[in-house]
Amino acid sequence: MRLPEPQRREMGENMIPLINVVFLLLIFFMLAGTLAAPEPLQIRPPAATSDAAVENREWMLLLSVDGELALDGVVLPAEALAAAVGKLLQEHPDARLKLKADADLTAAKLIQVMDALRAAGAERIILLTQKAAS
Amino acid sequence: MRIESPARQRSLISLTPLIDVVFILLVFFMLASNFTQLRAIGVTIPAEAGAPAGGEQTVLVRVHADERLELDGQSVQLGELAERIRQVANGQPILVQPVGDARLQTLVTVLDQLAGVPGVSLARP
Repeated sequence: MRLPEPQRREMGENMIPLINVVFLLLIFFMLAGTLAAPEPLQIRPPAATSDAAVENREWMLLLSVDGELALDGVVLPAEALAAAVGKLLQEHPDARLKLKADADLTAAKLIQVMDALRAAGAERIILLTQKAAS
Repeated sequence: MRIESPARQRSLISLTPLIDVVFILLVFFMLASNFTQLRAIGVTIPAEAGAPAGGEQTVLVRVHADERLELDGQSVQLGELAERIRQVANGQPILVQPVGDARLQTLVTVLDQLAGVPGVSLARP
C-alpha cells in the first residue's frame, strides 16, 4: 500500500501559534515577576499569614542559617555589622531596617544579631516573612 | 509611464530572528524574576541583658524548641493562645521568649497568632 506523501506546508504557517504562546509567556513573566538583583545569601524566610506588604528592598539585612550577614547585598563579617548599621542610621535617621532571616535560624543567633543592632541604635525592625503556602 | 507593481512577497518577513529574540527575552525574564512575596512583621528589639525586667506585671509566653508553648508557666495550645492572652492580660506588656534552640519559624508562628494583640514584644532567652 502506498500512502500519499503528506503535503509540505509553509514553515511560517506552523510557527505562528508557537510565537503567540511564547509572547503570552513573555508577557506573563514580565508582569507577574519582579526584577531584583540576586541576593548574596540563600535565605528561606519564615511563613506567616501577616499581610502587611513590603514596599521596597532598601536597608535589608540578610541573615542566613549559618549566621552569615549581608547588608544591602554586601556580605559583612559579624564584627562589622554594628558599624555598618550605625553609619546607615546616621545617614538616614528614620530608616527602618528590614531583617530577612532564615526560618531554620535558632532564636539565640537572632538575639545575638538583634543585640548588635540595638548597640548600633536600632530600636524597632521589620522582620520579613513570606506568605504561607497553604 | 508604467510602474511595475512590486512582486508579491509570498510569506511575511522572516520569523526566525523574531522568535530567537523573543525566546531569549523569555528565558531572561524566567530566570531573573522573583515570585516570592515578602510580608512584614514589626518587632521591638529586646532590651539589654543587664536591664531589669521592670517591676510591672508582664505576661510571659515561652516558646520551646519542640514547639510547645507556655503561658505564664502553663502549657497552652497555639490555637487558643490569643484567646487565653485576651483573658489574662489587661494592658500589661506581653513578652514572647524563645527557649534554647527554638527556630525562628516557631517564633514567627506565635507572633503571627498574636498579630491583633497590643503590646507584644520579644524577650531574650
